[in-house]
Amino acid sequence: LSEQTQLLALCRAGDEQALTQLLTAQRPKLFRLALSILDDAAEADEATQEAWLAARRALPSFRGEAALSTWLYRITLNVCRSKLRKQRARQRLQQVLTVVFRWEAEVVHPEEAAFQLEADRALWAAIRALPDTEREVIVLRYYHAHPIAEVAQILNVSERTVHNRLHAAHQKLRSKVHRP
Amino acid sequence: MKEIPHQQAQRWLAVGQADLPAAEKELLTAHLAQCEACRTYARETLTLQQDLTRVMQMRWDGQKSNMTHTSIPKASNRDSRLNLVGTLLGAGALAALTLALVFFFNRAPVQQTAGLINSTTVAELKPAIYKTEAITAVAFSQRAGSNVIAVGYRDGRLELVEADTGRVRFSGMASGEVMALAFTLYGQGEIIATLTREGTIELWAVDITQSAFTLMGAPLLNPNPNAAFFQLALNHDGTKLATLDSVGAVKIFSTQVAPGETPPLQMQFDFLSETTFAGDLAFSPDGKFLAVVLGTAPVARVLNLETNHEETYTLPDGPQALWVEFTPDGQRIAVGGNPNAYLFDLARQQSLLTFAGNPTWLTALSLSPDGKILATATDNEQSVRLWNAEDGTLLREIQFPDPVHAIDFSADGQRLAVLWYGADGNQLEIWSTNAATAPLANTPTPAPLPTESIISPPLVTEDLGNKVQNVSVVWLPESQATPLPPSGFTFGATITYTSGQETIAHVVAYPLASGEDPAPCELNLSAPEGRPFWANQTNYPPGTQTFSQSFPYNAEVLPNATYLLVRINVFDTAPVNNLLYCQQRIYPLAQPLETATPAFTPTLIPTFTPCAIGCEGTPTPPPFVTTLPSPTPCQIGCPETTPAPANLPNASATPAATETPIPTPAP
Repeated sequence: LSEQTQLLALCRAGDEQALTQLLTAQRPKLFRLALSILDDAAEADEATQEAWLAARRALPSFRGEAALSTWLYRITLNVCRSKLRKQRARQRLQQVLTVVFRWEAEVVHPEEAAFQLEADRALWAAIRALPDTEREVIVLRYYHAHPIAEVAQILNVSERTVHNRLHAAHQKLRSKVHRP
Repeated sequence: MKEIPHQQAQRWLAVGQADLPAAEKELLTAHLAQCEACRTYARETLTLQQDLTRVMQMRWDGQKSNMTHTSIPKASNRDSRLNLVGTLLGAGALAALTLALVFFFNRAPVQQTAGLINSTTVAELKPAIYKTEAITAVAFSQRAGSNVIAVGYRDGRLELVEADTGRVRFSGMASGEVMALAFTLYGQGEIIATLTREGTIELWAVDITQSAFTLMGAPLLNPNPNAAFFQLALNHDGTKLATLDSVGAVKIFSTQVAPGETPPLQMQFDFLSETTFAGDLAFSPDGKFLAVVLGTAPVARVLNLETNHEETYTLPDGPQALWVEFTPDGQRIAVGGNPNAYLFDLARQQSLLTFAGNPTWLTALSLSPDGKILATATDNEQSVRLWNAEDGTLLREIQFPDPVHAIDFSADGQRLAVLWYGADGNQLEIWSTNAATAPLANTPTPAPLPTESIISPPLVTEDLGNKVQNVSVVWLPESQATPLPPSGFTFGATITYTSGQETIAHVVAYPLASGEDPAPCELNLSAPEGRPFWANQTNYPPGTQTFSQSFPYNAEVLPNATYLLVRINVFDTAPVNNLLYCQQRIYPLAQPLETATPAFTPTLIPTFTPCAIGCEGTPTPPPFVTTLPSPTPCQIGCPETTPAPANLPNASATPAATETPIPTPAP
């Protein structure tokens, strides 16, 4: 009997400790997913926490239509999307305030300084510039190394949609990084 | 073969060949063989994919969560605060993080090409991949030029991972937690031996080029029921498996077994009558010698497997010898002890070098393939030390947050895998001089296209335990080792069990495509969305019950299925259907001959039927024939004899039918 199976059974029986243990085991993966969507460790921590809480509430109704990890990924992704929307609202407010107070409008993204090579900086900027839907596919496919079918499950879309998004993202990335 | 436009080929390349259905992959391969522009595009796409992975790893891999793993922090209202102060604070934190990253990359500049790990380059080593999960064992492929590493997990998963990208090439499931594994060459392919915590050894035949990953023979248990295996080794060509068990017996088995057969025992050496759970084994590079340390004494033994002669080498100090490995020339052995490591010369039968200064006993030891670097790990110090194996000097010490459990050099000597136990999960790191650069992009020859990532699940039967009593399961069909025919068979299961409560018995089955890993037995009760599957269930009162369910298999609705997953579950009924029992089987499906042999591609000739209908007394020809040279039926007229109908629904699976000429038509 695997540890996860035991824990899942205990969770379904309402065992809080088992629930914490089960979710704790998944936490690093969820944090990494949140980090790759939000690109901010503190935000990712919060998103992971919110995903935990959501998963705690929903676990008794988890019937195994997908693997547990996929199910948790999906919850985390939804939390991250919600946070992204709020993050952008904050950014819009910041832009308004920037104009009001005549602050420097053009801010170099400090993280780009982390890339020593110009090509890497360009690629990173191109990734950032992708629409959310396409960036999610790129991140899940090439950073988290999920197969297409799993990406589709996590995003709750068809594989065909994943194909289309991936292709569109590739076209945009290629056009921006000017590969030889 | 159907032609595809360049745009379609490029779309498929973006998806990746590993994720394409077989038919599309075949079309793409054919297109690439003819189109230089698309081959160039493919290489660029591969480079782009590798760069994407690398850039994202550079961006995110170093960042850690601040949450503790033992508690769930209270919900924060940060998101509801739309204030500039918070944003600026966030920017400050980001700037600090950036400074840290800049410092890190300045300290360890990115190299453009992979380098051999030697006494000069050890200073440049840095980690490339962070894979945090319940990893329990790792071993690099021994194939020249391969960067594939086998990774075993606590939940029994066995994965072949590309060390430079983290991409999972294959995945399967051992029968339990993978405690140790060995990975070496075997014929044209490779072989992996896994040892579970329960002491079961399973052998896996690996063919990366053909994406095949199959269980060899039957699982091996110790013939001595009072002892459990806890260490294993494979010889240079994978034909021999050496095991060490808990009563100090060394057994050598042949790995050359037929499906379903247990590996035969060839030799046995009994060294102890006491119990041990420490010790190690290593074959010499030519397979003629086996080095053994038992963990109970400061002695290393070298057994001549041809003469049964034994030489012993006593460590100069320390209470025990724990690890052993031959140098590539087979003339020396490196022995890890407590606390030091030693290099013994076998011809002179003496210790040549001492690698001293370790505070406690060694937890792992690995020699680089050229024998010039020795890597050791200790328990208390949570570090890996890299030694010059030619003079015994310490070259570098790398600290880790937690104890290191395993280390292994890649076959090309360019990578060092380090597995350490972290609070967040076990962490696998691949250290190399060009950690952030994908080697494929730097090779002078065109980078190969990514090979198919077929996941060939092992033929496993998972059993979750005994929450119901007196369980017996009969599977249909009985054989799980022989590929089932493409169509026309019945599958299912009959389960008999006793339960003290009301239960639901449930059988579910669905197809697995290439490249797909089935979920653990208990976590997937129905087919993934949009997929054909079969399922049925019945509620039963307390008592002894028999539930039987079978389904007809039809290949036409599962054209891309490679395996059939069949699972039988027993649940209780309240309040949330706890799983009481689960078993599953994965059947390999035989592929129709036309997919295996392109020459027999079926050809649809719809215009044949109207012509034949007009011929009284002539049976209607079936719609499918094979490899006909596209005759125009109405020019042919009505056949005097009709192609044998018996060939025809299955004609695609009957090569003889493809040889059948079109009957000479009557004028």
